[in-house]
Amino acid sequence: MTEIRAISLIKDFSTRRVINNISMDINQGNFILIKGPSGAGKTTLAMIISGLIKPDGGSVHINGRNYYNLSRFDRYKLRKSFSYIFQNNIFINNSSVIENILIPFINKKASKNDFKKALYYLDLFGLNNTANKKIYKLSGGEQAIIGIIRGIITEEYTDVIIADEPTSQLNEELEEKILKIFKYLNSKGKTILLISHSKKAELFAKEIYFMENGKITNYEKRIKE
Amino acid sequence: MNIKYILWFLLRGIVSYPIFYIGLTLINIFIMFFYDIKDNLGNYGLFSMIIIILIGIIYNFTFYTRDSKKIGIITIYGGDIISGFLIPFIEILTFMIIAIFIILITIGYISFTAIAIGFGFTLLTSIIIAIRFIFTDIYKIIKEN
Repeated sequence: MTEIRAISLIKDFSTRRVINNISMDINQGNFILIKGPSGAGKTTLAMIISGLIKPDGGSVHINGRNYYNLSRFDRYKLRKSFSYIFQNNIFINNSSVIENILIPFINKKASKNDFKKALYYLDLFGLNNTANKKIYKLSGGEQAIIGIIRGIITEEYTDVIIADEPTSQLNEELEEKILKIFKYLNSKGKTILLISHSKKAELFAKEIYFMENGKITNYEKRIKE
Repeated sequence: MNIKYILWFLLRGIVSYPIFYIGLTLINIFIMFFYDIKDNLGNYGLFSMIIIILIGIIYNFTFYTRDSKKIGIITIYGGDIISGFLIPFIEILTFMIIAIFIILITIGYISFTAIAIGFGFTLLTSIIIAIRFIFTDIYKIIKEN
């Protein structure tokens, strides 16, 4: 269980204020969508909340503990509750698709089931013949799918999935498939923090934050059945 | 940490950067070999060893800084605070062991003190590399590489 509370976050990049006094609560099992134009600060906000970028002001409390005041050892421990899907596909280029997917198991004992799960997801997206290919040989869209699979394959061990524009390079059919997977994981109690421009994503989210110039300009709470 | 995975990534690394790992093996050979023959080199023995150790540290640090994406990704996806130390340590240690075998096969002798010096070099280099990972924002590392 991972409860997150961000209080008055501020982040500057050189002279530009990228995040300007943002506060938000993320309860376990929520499905949050962050929308906004490019450069609004969505990625930076998600990275601060998930413990990857230190804010210049404000604080992030994870399960009641001020994350950025913790020791590095404790921060690493807490961060294991998060899984990431990055906007720009970040991979170990000289490794194969399957190795890149299984990276999150480097700190765990990957069982045969985990391996099967990776193959299942590859099959689901019609990429089962790419398992042993070098990752850089895949197209941008295929790499995006691999990034998504890597982000969700450890759902058993993580509480929060941070997805930064995961479907921006995919067609509508694949986008819907991925959103349905997020919805399924959310129904299992996982928290989803999704950054997306997509209209379709709005149908799946429980809360929507609109951002502009580093501020939250609008907030919508959706009532779900 | 899953050592099997680290060794697998190491094997992948050898295929991608064979020149680096050959260089690393040579540095390990020189460090241990020079220790054993340093008395024969007179006043230059210790000096030569220190120079080789310094070159070795710079060599490894430069490589692991340029190739930091791998450690960065592993650290973000569930690695712990010691990943930045353990990954280079296991890799450099592997090539130190290979260097020992090469010395034993070619020269037929290596002292325990030389092995200890080689191990000390491995440990020191890994700690220097780890300091960068522990005190730098991991997200920044993977974005920049």
